[in-house]
Amino acid sequence: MTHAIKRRVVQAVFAFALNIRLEFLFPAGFINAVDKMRHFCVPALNCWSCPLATFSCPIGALGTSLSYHVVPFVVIGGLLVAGALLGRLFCGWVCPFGLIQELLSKIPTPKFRIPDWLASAKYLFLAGGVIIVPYLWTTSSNLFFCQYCPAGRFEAGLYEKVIHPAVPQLWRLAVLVAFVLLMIFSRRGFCRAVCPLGAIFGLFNKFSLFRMRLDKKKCTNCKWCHKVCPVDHKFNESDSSTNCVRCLNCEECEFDAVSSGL
Amino acid sequence: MLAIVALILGVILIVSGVIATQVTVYWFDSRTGSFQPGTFHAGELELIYTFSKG
Repeated sequence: MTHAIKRRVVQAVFAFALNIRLEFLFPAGFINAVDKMRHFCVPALNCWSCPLATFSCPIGALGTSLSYHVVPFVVIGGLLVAGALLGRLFCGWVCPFGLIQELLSKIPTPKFRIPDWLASAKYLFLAGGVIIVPYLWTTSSNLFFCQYCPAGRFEAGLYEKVIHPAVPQLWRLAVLVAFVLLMIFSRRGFCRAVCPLGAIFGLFNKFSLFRMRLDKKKCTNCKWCHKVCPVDHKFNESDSSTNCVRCLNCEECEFDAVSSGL
Repeated sequence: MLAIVALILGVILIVSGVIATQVTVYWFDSRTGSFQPGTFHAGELELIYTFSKG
């Protein structure tokens, strides 16, 4: 099995495991047991409003808690532990929304590269949409991240639209369409420029226990790592970038210049 | 080193949040236009669960 197929299988397994409340498939006892898992967050962007979601979303839990003026110790602690251990590895292997984006970017269109300066915008979304706005103006503000999060619109919003068609959600649908276009015409553009969870885990890429390493003596600057990167990161220029989702595609380097480990 | 510090801090926060049996929540009171304290007697995990259902 090639690395690409192995990663896709792992992503698919996590996408299923994180959205396992399939009431038509499993008995009520199982669904009730799974329901209790919503006490916990998973280190991936998977909307907790989705009726299929197994776990809670850390970004939703963080923002909502702050809107009630509660400091969520468990959520922050969980993010610290997950980030300190693996950095953005969750983005590359676990996040179901990352998988959706990678599949959308397979649609054959010209791709534009999100510039590095724009990639820093995700810190604005984290600080503004997840921390400051909810704390000061509560989650009812349209600027609260969950209100326009495409993962939420994709996984829960479309379902809501079906069961409550009369509720006007035009601007939310417009935001979703804009993000879908971004995902089609770029490589994981949302992860690179918007995702607040990616912003948090990206900070840990600099010092997490699991590290990516570039052997500069072996690197020939062939730029093959640029081509295989799902987020358009130039790994040969920085091996601990906040943008790297640690998919490990570049470990297939024919010159063995890239390695990873604790 | 920094990763180890973050790990230890994270574990302390998780344990603190899990063993907490009550959380003080400041609800927004639209009548007064200010945040009012209220106590949630089930701890943080229950609070997250409640939010996820809301």
